[in-house]
Amino acid sequence: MKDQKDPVDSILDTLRREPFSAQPVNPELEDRLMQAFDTQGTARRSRMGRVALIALAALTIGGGTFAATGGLQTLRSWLVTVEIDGKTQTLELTQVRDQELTLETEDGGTARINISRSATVGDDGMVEVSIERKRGEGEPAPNGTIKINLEPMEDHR
Amino acid sequence: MDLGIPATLDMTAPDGEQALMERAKRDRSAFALLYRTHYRPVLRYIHRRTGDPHVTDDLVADVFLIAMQSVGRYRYRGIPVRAWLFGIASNCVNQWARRQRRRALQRLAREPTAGADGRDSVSHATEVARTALLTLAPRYQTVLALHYLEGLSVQEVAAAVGCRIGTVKSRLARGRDQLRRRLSPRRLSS
Repeated sequence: MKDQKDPVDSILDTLRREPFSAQPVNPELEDRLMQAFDTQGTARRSRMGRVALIALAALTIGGGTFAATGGLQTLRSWLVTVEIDGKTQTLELTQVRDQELTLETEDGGTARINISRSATVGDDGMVEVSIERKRGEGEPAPNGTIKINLEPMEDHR
Repeated sequence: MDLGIPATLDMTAPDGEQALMERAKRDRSAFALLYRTHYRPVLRYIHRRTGDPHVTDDLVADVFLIAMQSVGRYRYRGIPVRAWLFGIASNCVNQWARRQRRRALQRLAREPTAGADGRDSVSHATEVARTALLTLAPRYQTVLALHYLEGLSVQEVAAAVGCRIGTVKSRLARGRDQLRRRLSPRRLSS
């Protein structure tokens, strides 16, 4: 009995065996593609340039607005350097909560410095803070108020 | 056009395709190499499905222009680049094929038996085969052509058309069934 080939396989085989002759490449199409590639690259760079320009403008306007509304002063007031008994520590200030810093003092005691959120920077760049100091053996030292210099932010970069 | 680059891609080089695709995102000579490597297979695939040299030329140009626009979003996932290009080509051909389907059905119904009209029997058989394929829904045409004609694996076909391997297998089976029904004399005369 003769084997009957599946008609589906037969037509797929016919298409697969179809003679095909063509150039390895089409130079005209390649030229068109290369021109399109250059145009697309220019457009992409131009688009990126526009985005960068917009970002720069936003940054400039935002920065200007920030500076004009006293933002720089706010920034400067965020970093405070405290020096007690030769030890220096930096404290970050925010305007939303009280700040507290505990230092170990030379005599083995502790000094707790508290800056209230209501503390304001004076014209001389100084701010009042409260300090609670304890001696090493645990005896309380007299509480007092001292002035601590605010360091401009630029100094910490 | 001489770009000072090799005419074909060395597929034996490790990660050659991946490196080429990354370069082709910015480098025109790399894209030219991509074009030169895949032009003929894409041309042959589209010609097998359309049978019209002019339509084929137009669609091939569309394929490589779309590839150029989307190469920046291409992510290599271990699937050959040709599968990606065949996926683009399939979308282009399918748009054309949707418009041709009704015409193909009518043409297939009118076709005489091979050689009956005096034409070369081989070219006639090829035309009948292509017309029969064109009568199927494009999603079946695509998987049958990519798998049986272009030799892509089921996994590559899945990557090309953007569906799961099981879906490709199902479409292959259904496509074959539909093609068989189209070729049956009772169906042709109806």
